[in-house]
Amino acid sequence: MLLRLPSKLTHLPATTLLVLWAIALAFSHPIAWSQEQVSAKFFEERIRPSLIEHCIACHGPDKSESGLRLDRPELFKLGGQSGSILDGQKPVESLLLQALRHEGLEMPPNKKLPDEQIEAFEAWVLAGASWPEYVKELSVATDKEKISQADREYWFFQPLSDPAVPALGFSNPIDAFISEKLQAQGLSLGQNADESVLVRRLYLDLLGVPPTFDDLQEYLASPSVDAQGQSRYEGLVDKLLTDARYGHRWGRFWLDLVRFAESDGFKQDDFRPSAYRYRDYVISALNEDIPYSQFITEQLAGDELDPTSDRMNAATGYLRHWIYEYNQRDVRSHWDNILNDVTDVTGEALLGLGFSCARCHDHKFDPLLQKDYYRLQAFFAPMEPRYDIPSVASSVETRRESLEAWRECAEPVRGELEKLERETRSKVVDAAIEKFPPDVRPALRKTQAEQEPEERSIAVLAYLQIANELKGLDFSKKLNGQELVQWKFWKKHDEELKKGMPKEPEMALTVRDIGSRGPKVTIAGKPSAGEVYPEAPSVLGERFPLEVRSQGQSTGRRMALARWITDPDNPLAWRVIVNRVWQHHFGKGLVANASDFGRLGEPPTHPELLDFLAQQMIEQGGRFKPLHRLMVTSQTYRQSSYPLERAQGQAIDPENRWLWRFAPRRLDADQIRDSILVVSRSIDPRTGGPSDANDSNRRSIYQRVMRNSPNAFLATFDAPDGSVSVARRNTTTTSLQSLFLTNSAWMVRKSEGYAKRLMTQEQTSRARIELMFRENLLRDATDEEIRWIEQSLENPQGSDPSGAWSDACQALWNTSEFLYIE
Amino acid sequence: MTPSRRCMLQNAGFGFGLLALQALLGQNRALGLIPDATEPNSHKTHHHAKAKSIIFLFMEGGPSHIDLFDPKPRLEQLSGQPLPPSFKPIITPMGEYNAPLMPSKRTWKQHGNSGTWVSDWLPHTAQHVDDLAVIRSCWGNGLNHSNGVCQMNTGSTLGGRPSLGSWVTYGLGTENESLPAFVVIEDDDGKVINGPRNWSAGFMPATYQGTALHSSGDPIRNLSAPDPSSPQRQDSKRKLIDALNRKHQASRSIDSELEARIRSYELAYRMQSQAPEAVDLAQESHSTLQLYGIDEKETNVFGRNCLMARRLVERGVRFVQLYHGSGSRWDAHSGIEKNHSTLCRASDRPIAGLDPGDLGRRIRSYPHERKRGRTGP
Repeated sequence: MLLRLPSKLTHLPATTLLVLWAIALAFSHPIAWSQEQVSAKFFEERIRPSLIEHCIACHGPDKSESGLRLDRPELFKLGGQSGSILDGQKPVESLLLQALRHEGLEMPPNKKLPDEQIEAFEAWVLAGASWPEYVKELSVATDKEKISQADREYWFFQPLSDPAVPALGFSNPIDAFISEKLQAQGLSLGQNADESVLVRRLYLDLLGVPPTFDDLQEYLASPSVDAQGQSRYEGLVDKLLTDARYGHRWGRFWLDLVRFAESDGFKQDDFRPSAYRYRDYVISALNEDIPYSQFITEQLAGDELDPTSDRMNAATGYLRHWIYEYNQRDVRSHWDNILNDVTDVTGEALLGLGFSCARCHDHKFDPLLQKDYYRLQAFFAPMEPRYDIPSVASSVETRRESLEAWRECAEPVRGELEKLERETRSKVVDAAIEKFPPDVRPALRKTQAEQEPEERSIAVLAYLQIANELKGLDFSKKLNGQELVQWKFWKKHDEELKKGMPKEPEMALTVRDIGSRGPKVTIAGKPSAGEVYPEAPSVLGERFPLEVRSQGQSTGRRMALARWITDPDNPLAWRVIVNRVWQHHFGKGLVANASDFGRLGEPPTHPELLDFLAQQMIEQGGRFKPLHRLMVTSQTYRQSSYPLERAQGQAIDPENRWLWRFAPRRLDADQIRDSILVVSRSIDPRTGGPSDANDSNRRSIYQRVMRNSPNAFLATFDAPDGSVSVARRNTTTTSLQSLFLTNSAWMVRKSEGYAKRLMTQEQTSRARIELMFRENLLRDATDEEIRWIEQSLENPQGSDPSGAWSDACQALWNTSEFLYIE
Repeated sequence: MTPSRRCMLQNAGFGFGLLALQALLGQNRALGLIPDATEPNSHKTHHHAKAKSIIFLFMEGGPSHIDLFDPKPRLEQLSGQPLPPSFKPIITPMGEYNAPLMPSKRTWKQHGNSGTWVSDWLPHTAQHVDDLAVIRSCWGNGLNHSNGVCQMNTGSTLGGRPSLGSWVTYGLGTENESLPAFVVIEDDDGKVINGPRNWSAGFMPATYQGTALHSSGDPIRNLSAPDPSSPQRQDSKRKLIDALNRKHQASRSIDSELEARIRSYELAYRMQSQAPEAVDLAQESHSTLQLYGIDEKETNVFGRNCLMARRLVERGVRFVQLYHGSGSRWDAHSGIEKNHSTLCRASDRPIAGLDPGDLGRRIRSYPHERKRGRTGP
């Protein structure tokens, strides 16, 4: 690598280092870091482990050689017989650093630390050698001791409480909880939004698309209270919750969370033809409103519930969304990465904890031990990706007869070919095996029955590559003489026969366990620390002794995990899921970092409400729809975004943390695209089935998700690329978005289509403008707006007047009014 | 002694973060989280950072560093022998575990006052060695091109992390809001391995993602108005959008995002005029074109891209990434002589051309995704 440098690089100040650490750290935590957090993180990752491992045995509570103790901050600063180990004037020449560099004193005495560790100390000393405030002493702790009382008492690990609804006279308990906090701030719930604003909000929120003008009119014309005394708004909520488009909207969030995509994600980025079945599973599960516990269990262990069920095979697609590299010879690392990926996503998405931080060391802020990471991973370790289970079991049956008939003709030819190809094949396989690392090869030469559990999944990955090589084999280049002539003869027949071969059934993207016995799982890099078993994290372990029962061809581990995660007594999953639902309705969760409820996130703004909602969801059988209903019928949800009385709210709580108004938000990528499809009436209403490769007129959830070539529209508006779990999409405002919305061929097609219809439907300019406002912005145009549009029509537009109408319509789609929910 | 350098180099996008950071501290115009970490004690760099922008030249496919910048005399002696046992077991993608070692066929010379070794494949670049810092200790753990390129761009072999250009724009913002802050130019559109994932913002907001510049048609996607023949038409649409949005925003001033949206249209409009100008080489003198090798067939394509990059950074673009050999073309295997001769010929002069007078404000880099070993058939 070559750098062209502006000038010679010399010493760098320590702040530089800390800032850089902030950057490096932000790689793993997309949240803002305070100076204290950055310093603490540096201390925890680079300094503490070294002090414990290399120093405190001799300079600690047991022995304090030369009167020096490095296990407590005050003793560290005090120094030893040789005085202070830090030099305030010339920090670089501090005794501590000299000793570490083996200049004079040599510490540790036997072996100098690796350069990068010494450099870490240097940087730390230059920055002031500060210890995080909470570190009172360092000690080598046992696993059990590592979990402190404070850890055990951390709010997230406490059982769900049963908070009493504040008696403030609200019929919806959410309003009572919210009002209580608002009152404490000297605020109160604001006025309700206009009904038409509210109806639009509800449609976009529950269905992902706006109502049509007719929908809105119908609603406004209906009696405000029905015969049963239910308000028309509540009636609408019920109606929308049974609308199938609900699943399209809310399924999207789940797909983001599990980093759903339909391609491998590496060089080849191969398409996964049956991945869509997982998407359809999610949509239908949400529309059917199956209990959350069932939803999770089917995805984690559907194969153990019913291996013959197509639905379960689709659901376990959850375990197949990892990126796959078709030519990765280092299959061992590849399998590790796959397991890490599944572990990380499960930790974040289902448990709301940043497990990935504990992959290489104990989590520095949360009581998650490195061992806990591998405990979680051990649930997944026995799984094996399968490529031979049809997506639709019955397709095998229906195909059987025709296949048998075909085989009768084909088999003799195939037999001849097979005879001629056998030797070459076996040579190619042998050579292919040799391309794998030596420690992998023995497993590849064993039969499946001979393979140890630790060898199985690695062998599966290797076999995929070998099969790929065989597939690309050209025998015409491998055979000679008479054999070649014969081969060509039979091959020609075979090609003919192939044309009549019944179509291969589509194979499911699913998994099975390798058998009833799982592989031995150890901590990466620490095999001597012994086997790690599937268990709940230490901090909760005592309360949740897990029972893993193998069944048939499964270890039963994933089933045990699913049972634990969805146990009503497990405090994690239920808080996490209700918070996600809250976040999508209100724009921000009660816990702001929806996938990290640990200390790196923010504490809940309304802890009682969070527990109340979790309890409610459990009481409702773990179903989502009653929870949605509770939220969207609250007055909190129905507030205006721009209450007339807002001075106080703005002054006291400009961030709207306490919800004195409904926070407006930009539509997300899917909502924008789908809204335009709806208002332009170009939407293709067909649902389900394989995704559309070329930007079709179906909803965005049906557009194909290729990790390396994302849909241009969706990517421009912050849609995730399916690589990592996304709990909440970013919202950006960029000029590239403006360029897309004003100039792209897609927009032009849609607006031209719209203009054409508009011009046939209405004859006068005024009528057209009025209709356009109603259809797109769900309201009447003002006189001023009518004038503006008319002016824009007057400008020279060439010969085609439809162009001007198309532009005017595009302009409406570019308004903030159209692009925001309020 | 440079206490923190190595660890920084390892931890932030293979070192460019460090350079960006110097600029950041020097200019104090950081955004986002970074000011929090620098403010309290107002530490400053001991010298004013000069680099304002980065041109990141990515030779895709993995040029053989031991044939370009990193001579290995011992390889001569070990020619034909297996890898010495002092090496740990290696994993190679193509399974050449026992192939004998093969020396480089290049002629090597030390250049400049620094005496940096450069092979005869890069005669033009060799004339500028004193402006170069050659880092020979860089390592990665991506075995294949895909994950190597990913790691070189994002620091991780797995996808999903922000790319270097994203970090730099995140840290430094932009100097010209009418152009994208982070621009990517491929020498063969759409061929670069991993595609846009290499310049994605990962988990960061899309504001920081790279914008691909195209060599034909609109340089930036959707840049020109649908009906370029009628500027009035575009103008009238723009005014209409503006009027409607301003009216809407007037009663909603508490949400600054709405104001930002209005501004984004103004910026988009300015980009429409500035971007084509920025990449229009017609204004360059004959001697400049010559400097970049635009006068020769072999060097024309990459020369144009290099000159475009220079024009972009001159206009305040923060980070320009140029791909050369898009589609892993530097991946030579047994055909290294022909392959590298051609590709070095195509890129050496254009890269050396990137040497304008104010180069001090720019960092040019020449990384690739993999460490090359050298074994014979």
